[in-house]
Amino acid sequence: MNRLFAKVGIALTAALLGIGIILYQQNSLKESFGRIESTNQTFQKLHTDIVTLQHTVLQANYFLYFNTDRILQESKTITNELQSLEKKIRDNADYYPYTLHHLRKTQALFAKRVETIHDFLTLNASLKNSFVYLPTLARKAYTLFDITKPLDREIILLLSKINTSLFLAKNALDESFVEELHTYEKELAGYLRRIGEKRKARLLEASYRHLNVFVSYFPRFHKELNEILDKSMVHSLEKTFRLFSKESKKELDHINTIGNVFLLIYLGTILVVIYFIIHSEKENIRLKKMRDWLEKSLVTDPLTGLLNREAYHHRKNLLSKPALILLNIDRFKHINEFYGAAIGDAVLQECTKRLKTLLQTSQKASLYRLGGDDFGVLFEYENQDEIEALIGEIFDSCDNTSFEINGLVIDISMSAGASTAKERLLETADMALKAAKSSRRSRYLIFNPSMDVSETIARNIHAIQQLKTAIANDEIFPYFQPIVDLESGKTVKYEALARMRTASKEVLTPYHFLEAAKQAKLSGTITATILRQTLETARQSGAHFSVNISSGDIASSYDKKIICGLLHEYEEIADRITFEILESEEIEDYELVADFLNRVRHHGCKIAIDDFGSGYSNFEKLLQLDIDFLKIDGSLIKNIDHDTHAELIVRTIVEFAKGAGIETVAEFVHSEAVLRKVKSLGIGFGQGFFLGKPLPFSDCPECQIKDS
Amino acid sequence: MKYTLLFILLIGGALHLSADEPIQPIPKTIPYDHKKAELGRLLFMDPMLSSDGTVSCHSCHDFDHGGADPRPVSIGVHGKPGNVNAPTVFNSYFNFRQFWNGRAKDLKDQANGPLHNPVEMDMIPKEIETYISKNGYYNRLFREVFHSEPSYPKALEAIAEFEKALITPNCRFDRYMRGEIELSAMEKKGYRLFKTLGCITCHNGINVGGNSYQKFGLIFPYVWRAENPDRYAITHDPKDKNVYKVPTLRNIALTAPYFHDGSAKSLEESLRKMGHHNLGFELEEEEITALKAFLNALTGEKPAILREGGRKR
Repeated sequence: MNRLFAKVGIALTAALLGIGIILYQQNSLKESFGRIESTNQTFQKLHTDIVTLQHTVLQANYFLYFNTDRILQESKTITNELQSLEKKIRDNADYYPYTLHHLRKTQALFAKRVETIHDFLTLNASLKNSFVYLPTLARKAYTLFDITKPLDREIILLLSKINTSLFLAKNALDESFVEELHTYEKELAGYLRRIGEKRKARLLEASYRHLNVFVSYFPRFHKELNEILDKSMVHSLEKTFRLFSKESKKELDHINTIGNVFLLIYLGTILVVIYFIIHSEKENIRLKKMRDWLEKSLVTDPLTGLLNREAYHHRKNLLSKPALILLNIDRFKHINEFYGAAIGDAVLQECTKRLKTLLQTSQKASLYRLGGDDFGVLFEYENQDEIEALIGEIFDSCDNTSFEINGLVIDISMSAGASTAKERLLETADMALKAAKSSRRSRYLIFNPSMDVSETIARNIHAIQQLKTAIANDEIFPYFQPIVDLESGKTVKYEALARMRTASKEVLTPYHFLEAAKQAKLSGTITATILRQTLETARQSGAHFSVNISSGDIASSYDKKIICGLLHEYEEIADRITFEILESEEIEDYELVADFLNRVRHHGCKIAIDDFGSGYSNFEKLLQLDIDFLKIDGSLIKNIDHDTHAELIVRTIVEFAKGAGIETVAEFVHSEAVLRKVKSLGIGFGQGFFLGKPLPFSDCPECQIKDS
Repeated sequence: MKYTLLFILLIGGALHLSADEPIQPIPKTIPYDHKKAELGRLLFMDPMLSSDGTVSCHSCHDFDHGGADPRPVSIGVHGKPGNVNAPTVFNSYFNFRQFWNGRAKDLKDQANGPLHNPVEMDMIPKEIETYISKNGYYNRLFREVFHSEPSYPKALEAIAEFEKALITPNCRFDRYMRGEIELSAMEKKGYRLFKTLGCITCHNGINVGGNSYQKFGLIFPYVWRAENPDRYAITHDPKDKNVYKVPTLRNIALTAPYFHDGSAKSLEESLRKMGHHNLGFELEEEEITALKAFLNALTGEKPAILREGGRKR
């Protein structure tokens, strides 16, 4: 989290820095451009204002009445403009050393110009005064002087000349006329000394003084006017402007350079942000991949990559009319054991490949691995034919071509169960599969309600419960069925048969609970219970007994221990016990059996093979086991009186037993005719309803319970 | 004769060579910072700004005498007489320079002068700063106006702001120029004379003067004294002897005596003297009457800021 904040922080900082730089750059560019532009305008305006001022000064020279404020105002404006310009330039003195230097020179020049203008205004007023007064005085002189008198006429003439020259000098701004005026001035001074009359003398004196002012002021006035009107001020400004243009180019170049640097920095910040984006995107992709993988592994099987049961349930609910084909590889367990798990896995993968290839064409079907060697094909149901066609295709693709794995050639076959019962799809397909497996006729079946074994399952569960309760309450006990010596007709032994009393006091035969006992791994417990009670009965009665024991009991070391413990406990009577091993059950490990038999034999027990001839009997192995009795299966005996085929088999068994020195017992002797037949075949012992039903020991005929 | 005609024609032409009116009316109002001006007013009236506590700006710029001094020369601290007749403070904002010889470029600059001058108020900035800082009332006002400590430059600024407000608008002549009223025949004649006699060459612009330096005694020289407050005192250039800033003629009827030395006691006397010294001839009686009528038409209203009453003191 902190790392995230740090990243976001850095990215944000970078972005803000970038934006800041751009804004700053834009701003400074704008500011610079704006400043340069406004400076340019100021230069232009100054130029105009200077020319205007010169024009105004010229007006002040020519107009008789003139508002001097205008000149002052204009020069003040220029002074202020120069000042603000100077400040502008000074604020960026780094870029504009020459401009600033020269601008200050221009300012100094203008300050001097202003002084000149002030002086000019003084002179201008004085000159104008005299320029107006000399003609006025002359006019007064026309009335005062008498032109008939020579002296007076000369004076009048002189005054006229003075006025003419004055006029030309002032209006032509020509100093050559001032020379003339100088001469007239001297002449006028001469006349002034010769005039006696007071009024005339005063007029002449005033004229003389005015002329004197004009003559003495005019050159200065003229010089100053020229100075004010000359181009030096404009030139100075223009030169400053040229310098400014040059240096402002430099400034802009510099700003551009900075701008480029900023741009690089900005790009850098963008790269930083991009880096983070890529980084986090990568991280996202990684996380997404991981999530996808996790999700997938949640719903897929790692071995085949197929969707698993989880995914199946999810998908099934999305379909409106789902159909499921459940496929199972026949005898896969055998393949696994024979070739090893690695090859087994390879077979599964090959199967997967083939199924996938097959189903690729149909978009709607999806493939699952629902169990060890169970595959499921799920699709939207349309009709029965479609299901059958698909199963056919699957069988074709998997059965007709051998699997080649690591150079091994393996042939497999498949069974299938299909169902369209939406609510219990997998369960019902499984039932159909099981039905197909156990059927000899068809390799696949489509579920119909008759296959529903859920009743059975419920019964099984009930049976197990019942069994457990019975065991806990000691309600498992033996009934005894006599085994008769056919020669003497005497009962020589009783077979202990397990019975269970239910809560409703009903006594049940093993048919009802044996399967449950096997499933619940309780058959050993039952065996031990029955054995203990039988041993107890044997002790009390002194009779001989046989007890059933399954190969499962023998295989279980725990049960074996208990059985051996009991034999030890009843050491003195153990030799009266015969163990009947069920031959029909596949004896997987003969060594284990042999070992057990040796142990019980050590206690003096005898060994019988039960239900001999019902299944596939391995005579050689049996011989190795060194058994005492063969109990011939009831299915061979019950019709032996009229089934010649059965008779032939029994004869063979009897022959073999005789040769091996093994006693024979016929089970299922249920009639006189059967009894006679088995007797004639030379079987030593018989057992069956005709000879005696299974009963509690106390109810048995001929039973003798010895007093202890 | 030919000459004469030509001459008359030319002169006639010259006389009509007139730009727009050479005198401009004073604006009716002028924008200024009222708070600052009120502070300036207090300072202007405050004799504590002088070394002996007897002289304020107002002592020599009397609002009842057109903002000028009725005495020929002003009297400073300890009764020391100055060497100059104080020019009016009214409309001084429109002058291009301040003082008779224009040595101050603006009002702030000007206010600095008398405060320092040993024969006027005789103070040093430090003392003034101490005084306005210690005085609670001033202290508060300065903070209100300037948002900072009281200081000498700020005090000058306030005084200048007050003086800026001392304009006298709406004199008869200004109203005539704005076309609001008609002048009397005499006044009109006076204005015409004012122009034709050449007074206008120096007395023009918004302040009817105050916008150029001119020589007093251009035609017939006026007596020159070393203590004169003329341009020569600054430049020491002989041609600047008796050269002064042209004084304003506004409110001239109220600001006797006249000239830098207060030597003219009346308008008539000053007109005659100017006629002689600067025009070189004697004015006729009727010319003087007409000119006086015109000059009287230049008396404006008392500055609004003084009529407003201002703060209680």
